[in-house]
Amino acid sequence: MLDDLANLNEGDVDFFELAPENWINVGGRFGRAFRQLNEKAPFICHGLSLSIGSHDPLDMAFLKQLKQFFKEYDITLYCEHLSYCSHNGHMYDLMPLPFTEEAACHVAERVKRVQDFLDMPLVLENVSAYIEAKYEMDELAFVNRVAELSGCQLLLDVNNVFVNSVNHGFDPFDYISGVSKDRVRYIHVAGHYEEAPDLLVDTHGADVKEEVWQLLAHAYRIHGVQPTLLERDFNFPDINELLAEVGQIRDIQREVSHEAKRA
Amino acid sequence: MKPSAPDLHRFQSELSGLIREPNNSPEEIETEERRLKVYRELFFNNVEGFASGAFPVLKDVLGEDRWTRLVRQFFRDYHAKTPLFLQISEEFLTFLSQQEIDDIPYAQELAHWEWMELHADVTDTLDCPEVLAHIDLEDCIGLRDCAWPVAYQWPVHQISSAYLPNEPVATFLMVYRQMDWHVGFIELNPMSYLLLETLSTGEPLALKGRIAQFCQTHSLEYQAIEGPVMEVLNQWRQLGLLKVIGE
Repeated sequence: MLDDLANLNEGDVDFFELAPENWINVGGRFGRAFRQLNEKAPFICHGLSLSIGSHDPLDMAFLKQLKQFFKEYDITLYCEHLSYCSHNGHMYDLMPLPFTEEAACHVAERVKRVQDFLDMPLVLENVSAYIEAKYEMDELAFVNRVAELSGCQLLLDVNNVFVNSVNHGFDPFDYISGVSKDRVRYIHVAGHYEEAPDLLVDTHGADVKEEVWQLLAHAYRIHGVQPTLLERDFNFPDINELLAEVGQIRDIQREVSHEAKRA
Repeated sequence: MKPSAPDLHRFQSELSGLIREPNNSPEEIETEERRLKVYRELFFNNVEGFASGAFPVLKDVLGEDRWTRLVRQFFRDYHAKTPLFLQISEEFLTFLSQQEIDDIPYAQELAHWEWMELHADVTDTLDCPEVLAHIDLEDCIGLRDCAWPVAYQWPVHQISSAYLPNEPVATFLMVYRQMDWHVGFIELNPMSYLLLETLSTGEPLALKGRIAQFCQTHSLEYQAIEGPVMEVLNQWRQLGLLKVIGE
């Protein structure tokens, strides 16, 4: 995949997104490929190990590494997951938070510390969840509450909204309409896997589904045409198929921009 | 809405426990088994992917079942501290060093060797000076940071599921990364391994002095040893593994 990306033409993509956890302290041939890719397009960082919702202490040594890395590669957008991936040690994948006031306050306090330390806003993503964690509020209220308490910005993952709407039974369009205005800075779109009609898994291993494209257009209409990433982590098709999906993002962006101008 | 809001810490303890140990049953968390199963499989497959990517030969030697049990134990019991994905292999190595694998006495050394090769490929080492054109006895010669001598009790570089050694064989290897990022290794004989040790310890010293030191330590004649030593050093020089210190 790295080779395919290295052969992209200028303008094929506007930016790349990477997980800093894959690249910090990496040299050799991978480090070289990484730097060459950075010459083609700017990088956005999408973290996986910060564990912002965890009860484990914030890893300040890791934050220092991140800060240095962002400086080195001129990273101006760092997003993470509204979730946690550790409890007495790392587990390397995302677990859902319970939607309670206590959890929202806990996350918000940590977000503020991270933002102060990095001296940049943290952008938090709504995550896919397979168990229902609705207690004192629903997911939408929880996301908005964390943003309100912490001042963070949001990465709206429209595929995750769709996955959760099926897994937990809510209207994904209402959810997107309800996300706090002026918070959404960045958008993700991806494919998912249908484990059962009422259980979808956010795999990033398939084409984007039609319903998710419709949600993307809806998100632009509500929150403006924001920078958008096509996520694909494995099961890669020919690079041209991925570029066609990137083209579809651009088409929808143009369409919604035109609508806005006509209105 | 569910009736009572859980304490955040208790919720995280329970959920992480359910994912780490599939035999655990939910107490306070209300959910279906099939939904928990999604988490259990996603998490375990992810960690297994990191481990098998770093230790393919060990996986092969242990066999699928035993390997799966080992990774399961790592995921359940070992509380990894690193946030960086490539360093999960180091955590696994530490975990492995705490295990008793009596019937496969070379398992730990094999894993170290596999980690060593991976490390040579990905480490962020900046020390990549020009290849030395020749070796001068008056120069202070040292090993570049992109070369790693290692000693094992077992012939780790030969082990595969098709070759499982019965007896230990003292094995000296040097992994290196060349200027073009190619990673390779050479076998060292005991003399050249000792020579390397001499080169890399103590204060910088001209090569002539080093060889004299080497002769003294190992009761050898300088005249007899200079030729063979230069031959070995020239082989390393051609691979781009030597540098002049203090220039």
